[in-house]
This record gives sequence, structure tokens and C-alpha cells, in this order.
Amino acid sequence: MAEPEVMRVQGVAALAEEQRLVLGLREASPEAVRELCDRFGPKLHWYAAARLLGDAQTAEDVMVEALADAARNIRQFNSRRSTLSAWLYGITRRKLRGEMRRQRRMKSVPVSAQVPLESLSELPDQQDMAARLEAKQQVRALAQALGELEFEVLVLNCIDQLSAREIGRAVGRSERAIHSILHRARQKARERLMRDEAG
Amino acid sequence: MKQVDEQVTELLTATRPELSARWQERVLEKARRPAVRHRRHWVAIAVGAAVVLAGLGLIPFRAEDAKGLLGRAMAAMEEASSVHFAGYGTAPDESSPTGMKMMPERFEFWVSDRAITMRTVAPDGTLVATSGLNLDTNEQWSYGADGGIRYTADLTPVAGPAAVFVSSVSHALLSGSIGQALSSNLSDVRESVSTEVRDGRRVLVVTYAGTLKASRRRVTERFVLTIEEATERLIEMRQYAQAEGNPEELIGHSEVIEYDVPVPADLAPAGVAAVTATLEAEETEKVVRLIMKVGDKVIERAEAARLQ
Repeated sequence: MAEPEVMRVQGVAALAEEQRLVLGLREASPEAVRELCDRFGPKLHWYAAARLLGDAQTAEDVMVEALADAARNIRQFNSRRSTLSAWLYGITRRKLRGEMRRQRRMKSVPVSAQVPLESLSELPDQQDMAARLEAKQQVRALAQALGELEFEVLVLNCIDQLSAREIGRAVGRSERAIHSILHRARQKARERLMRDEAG
Repeated sequence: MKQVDEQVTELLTATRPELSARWQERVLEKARRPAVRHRRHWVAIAVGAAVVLAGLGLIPFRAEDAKGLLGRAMAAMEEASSVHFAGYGTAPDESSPTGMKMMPERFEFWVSDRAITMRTVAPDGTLVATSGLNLDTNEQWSYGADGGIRYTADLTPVAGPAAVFVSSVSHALLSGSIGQALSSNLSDVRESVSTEVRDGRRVLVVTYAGTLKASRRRVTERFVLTIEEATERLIEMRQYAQAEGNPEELIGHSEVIEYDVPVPADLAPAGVAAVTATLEAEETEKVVRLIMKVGDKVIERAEAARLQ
């Protein structure tokens, strides 16, 4: 019985932390912007990179724009309607969609998505490289096997353990719809992964 | 299902890319720039701005309709220190099969966070009207067919609300300029993007075409927006309309769109009466009102929605 109480206290503490950060951002404090970066930047970048199938540079550009927008427009954040995390994923998602639409219109794949992520001088040993490339191919196959929204919801669930409600806020769907999308996404992912293992 | 989550997380972890060394600095740098203005408010404007807006047939920008490239072009516009537009607006015209025509008068406006200057010139080169407000020179003027007046008023005490007013008008002018292309007035919208080289620079030509929803006639509209690829700035916009069975007509053309150019201080002709006035501001939760007086007499009022 102690566990829910601990979780509740942790939840309240997280909320207080979030409120403190939001207040700092409202005062345009550079320290608050740094804290925003530290707390959310790496995960948002990871999410953007997964959605862009490994295009690290564009993912970073998207994340930087999203965090800067969030810091500048923090007054639009309403803590009653969303958590800061879900709000930030929502902003990043809108920027990502714009970027992906732009790439589709340009009918080209960004150069950074076509080449290995590591620069030649920092090339890891061949075995690591091969494993990484294989993982990259598996992620691409997974993205193709799942619908766009299913892949996105699964990524959000896996990289940041967001709740269904938070994911719903970020992608503009109800909590119930997210449960259903996640269920389908997991089924398709399991089939795809089993096929990879068999192959 | 947990196992699936773990496997997917492992894959995503294995492919997780590194961040560059400067990413935090980039966020800080961009976060210091002025906030992107809220795009969903309608700006009520008095003085000459209302006339110009109505004349140009401008409508508010709708963020939910913003499409990637144009949204970015809009953001680039907001980030510029000033913007200069020149061209021909659209006006209703019942005699035209489309119900619209391109105005013969050439409009021009310059906007920055500190000043607005507008003017309209007849096809024969005669000045039809000009108006403006400059927070740096403490001047406001409006001049039309019946003559005009230039006021000098100390704007320092109302610099805050006056700046909000300028921002609101600037915003309405800028967003209206490309808002029509992004509005929900069109159904069956078709979009396309092509790349060209113009004057040695690569440009993206974005075309939006669709059927005008609220029209008694069957009219299709086509917007052709030219965006400089390197800067993502909008540099030209054309608006066409075509009524069924009729040829397509050009009904609007912003032929000059320049960025970071000086805003002319005063375009009223020489000899315009100059009056020293006072300016007062009233702020409510929703609007900022600027009231200009000469002595006790209120000579002009301007009202703008507060930026949220």
C-alpha cells in the first residue's frame, strides 16, 4: 500500500518542480532555459531522430526550434490541460510534421540520413558499426510495418514512458484511442520483430 | 507486450544519435528572440490601418491551417527587423465573373516593431493616401484626398501600449498578406512545390489551388508563393481566380517583399499641417486604446487587440 503513496508524493514533487521551471521561463531566465534543455532536450532529440529514421542533424534542428519556441511562448502553456512534457512533445511533433512534409515535397532524403551517423574520425570498431546499422535497418522496417501514428505512439511510449493521457495530449488523441493504437502497434511490432529473428 | 516494448526500446537505444556540442547554445540564442506572435487573434484597428486592411481584403492568419513551408516563411517574416511589401491588393467587383478584381492602386507598407508606414498610389502616380506611426520620431500622420495632418506627440509615457499597437497592426498586415493562402476558404485544396533558379538564387514555388467555398459562383483560386530556399523567406505572392468557363485572372500581386529595410519616417507631402498633440493610452484586458488629443479635443482613436 505504500507504493501508491510514494508515487503520489513523487507526482506532487514533480509538479512543483515543473511549476518552478515554468515560472523561471516566464521570467525569461537563461538558467530556466538551460534547465529546460537539460531535462527535455535529449529525449526530444531522440524522439525526433526516431521519427526521422536517424536523421540526427535535422532532428537536432527540430528539437532546438521546439525548445526555443517553448521558451518564448511559455505563456501559452496551460498546466491544467497538459503536462510540460506532453506540451513539448506536441510542439516538437508539429515541427516534425512540417519538416517531414517539406522533405516529401522536396522528394529527397536528407544527406545526413543517408550516411552513417559517425564521422570518419570517430568511427567505432567495425562490429559496433555493423550492429548499429543493423539496428537502424530494423527500426526502418518497424516504421514501415506500423502506421505513422502507431510508430509515433510506440516511440513515445518506449523512449519516455509517457502515460497514455500524456501521449494523447501530445498527438491530439483521446487516452482511450492511445490505448487502442498502442495495442495495435505492439502487435504489429511483435510480428515484425519475430520475422526479423526468424530471418 | 512488455517484451515488445523492451525490444523496441533496445533498438531505439542502439540507434540513438549524439547531440552536437553547441545545441544548448543554439536554443538559448533562439529563445532570446522575440516571441512568435499569437496568430489566432483578430486585430481591430482604427486610423488608416483599417482602411488599408479593408482595401487589401486581408484576413487573419489561422495557425491550424499553416502548412509547413508557409508557416516557416511566416516565422521568418516575424523574425525580421522590418518588412516591406508592395503590390496590388484584391477588391470585390460584382462585374467580374469571379466577383473579384485586382485593385489598380499600388499599395505599399513597411512594418517593424517600432513603426508602420503605409501608402497607396494611383495608376497615374498620384498619392492617394498615406499614414503611419513612428515610435522613434514620436510622429503620427495620415494624409488622404482631403488633405491630412501630421501630429507630433510625446509617445514616451505610452511607449508600452503604443508598441503593442504597432505590433498588432504589423502582425495583421503581415499575416493578412499570406493568410488568405492558408485560410480555410478553399475546398479541395491541391498543393505543389517546385524548385527554380531566379536571379541566381534557388527559390521554391509553392502553389495552393482550390474552390472558393463561400461563393455563389464556381470560382477556383490559386496562390503562387515564391520562397527563397536559403532563407525560407517569402519574396513574392500572386493570387489568381477563375470562374467556370472564363479565363484565369490575376487578382492580387505582392511583387516586392523585402526584409530588414528602413521604415520611411514620413511619406506625407510637404506642406501638410503639423500639430503638436498628446497621446494617452487605455489598457483593458483585451484591448489597447490610443487616444490622441489636441488640447481637450480628441482627434483620433486607435484600438488594437492585446497580443496574448
